[in-house]
Amino acid sequence: MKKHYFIKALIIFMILSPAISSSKENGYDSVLEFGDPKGERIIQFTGNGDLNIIGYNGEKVLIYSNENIFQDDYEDLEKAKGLKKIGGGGGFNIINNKQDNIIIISRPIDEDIDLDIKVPNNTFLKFGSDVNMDSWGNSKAMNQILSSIYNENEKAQDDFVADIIGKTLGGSFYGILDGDVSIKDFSGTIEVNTVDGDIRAENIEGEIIASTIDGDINVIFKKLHKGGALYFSAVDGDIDVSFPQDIQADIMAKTMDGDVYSGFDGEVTMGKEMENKITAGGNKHNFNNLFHSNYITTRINGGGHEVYLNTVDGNIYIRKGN
Amino acid sequence: MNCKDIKELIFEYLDGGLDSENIRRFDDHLSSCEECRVELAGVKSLWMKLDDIEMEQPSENLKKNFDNMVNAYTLGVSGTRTPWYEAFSNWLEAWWPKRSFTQFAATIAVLIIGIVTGLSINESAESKREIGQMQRDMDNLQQVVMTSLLNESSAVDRISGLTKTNQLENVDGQFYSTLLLLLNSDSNINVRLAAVNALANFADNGYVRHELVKSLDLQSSPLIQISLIDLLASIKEPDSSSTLVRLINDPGINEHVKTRAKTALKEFI
Repeated sequence: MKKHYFIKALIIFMILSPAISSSKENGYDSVLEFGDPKGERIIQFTGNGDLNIIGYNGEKVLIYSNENIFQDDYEDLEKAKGLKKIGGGGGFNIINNKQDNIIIISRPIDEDIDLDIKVPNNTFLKFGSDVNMDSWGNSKAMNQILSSIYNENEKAQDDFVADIIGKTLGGSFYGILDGDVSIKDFSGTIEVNTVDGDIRAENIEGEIIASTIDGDINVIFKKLHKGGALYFSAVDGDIDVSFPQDIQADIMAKTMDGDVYSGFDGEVTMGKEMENKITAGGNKHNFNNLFHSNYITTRINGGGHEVYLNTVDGNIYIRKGN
Repeated sequence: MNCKDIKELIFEYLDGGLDSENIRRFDDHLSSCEECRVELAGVKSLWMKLDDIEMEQPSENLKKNFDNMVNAYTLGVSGTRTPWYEAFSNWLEAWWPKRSFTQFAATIAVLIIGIVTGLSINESAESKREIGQMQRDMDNLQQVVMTSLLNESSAVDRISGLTKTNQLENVDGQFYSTLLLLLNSDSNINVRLAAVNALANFADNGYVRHELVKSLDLQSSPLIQISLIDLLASIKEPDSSSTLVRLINDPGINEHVKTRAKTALKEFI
């Protein structure tokens, strides 16, 4: 199924993607436009190397690199005369899927490519994907669950499997990200998963979900959007998050080997506040309370946004911003 | 196929439940019937909107109102042959789900039935068939709601869906399976962490406890391992002892995970 989906996706991309724009605009090496500037726009990054992202109020994605990745070396190729290069094998690729409104910036895994990129605000930035080799290991369990959901409806089930593999289980493009990610002055949604590198996000308005294995996470929020819970996770590194001072939040912090510091005068409890929950079903909520007592919980300005800060080996800093 | 057949099969068609022969006949009719095309478009747009439904707990009033509606409906259907209280209690047993997830779906299903059939109300002879249709729609809707949790391409949205599940009570096995699928297979570590937090709400369920122990063996991230051990220790699940011992003796496991596993083991003794 994976292979099938991969090939299908590849064919679609090959048909849809126009060549990497070779035009130079204001010194940028590559300028990309979304298929639908007003729709939901996604920019996805994979591969290794540092990324410096700055948000701006334009509509184009502007990419700059010091390295020679945009050079049109293929023109020397006799066989490629008259053809346009639309992609490479295992190398640097930009895929602009205008139909799905996704721009994928895919870098090779055997070398580091550093990029400076300006991105439009109010987009969805997706960095790498988690490296979970088990993701594909449970296909049997997944099929069982899906057939129980769909009963005998095989056609719907097949469609759904393709969908779920594409979306929930990482999709056909999931790359290891080895390098630092830095995002500045951006509003929108950020989903970043790296393996080896720091994550820095500064002056951010919106939502962030971040994870790294070996590196620090540093986030300075300008404003949070009301949405689901936010999660920041590191295995070997500090988590340092600065919130607007008037934020209403419940911050749950957990570290195995480190300390938790806070600049807020929030009320600190071991365990999540449960008084707003339905109290029926006694045992159930006792379990939940006990489980949540593993978190050091700070309720700030009456509570609201749920924020989970998890690290195994590192300190957690909760800062009061402006 | 005539227009009446189309009306009957429209939900199955949208949900992909028809076989190829019926799809062909369905399409044949559509190509020649303007009226049915319009109807299909209308139902389809409603169907799509259901994907965006927020999962919410029905209020007590809603439940009461629904009970009353069911009651009234059943009285009309069963006529005088069975006593109303028997019909009512049968009805509740057969149709009224014990799970809040489906309760919500059921409420929406009633709405749809109202819209779809309300315009062309027939005599009670048709009612039995309508009830069958209603059951199918209810099942479909439960799927629609659950698949939307699985089908979000952004981790932010999946976490948002998982956060909302703590408002649900009395959910069913399929719902647990959906949460466990995210816990075991989601590509995003933060979604898997959110799934542990969501499952903590349902850890009183035997199946969930069993699957949590199994999941501890599958996880590779120390963060998830620690979170799962926290949860298993909170519920004092004795079946997890052997898995914890295995983790402690496995040279590939993170030292902090081993430390956590050791303290958890002590809590069982």
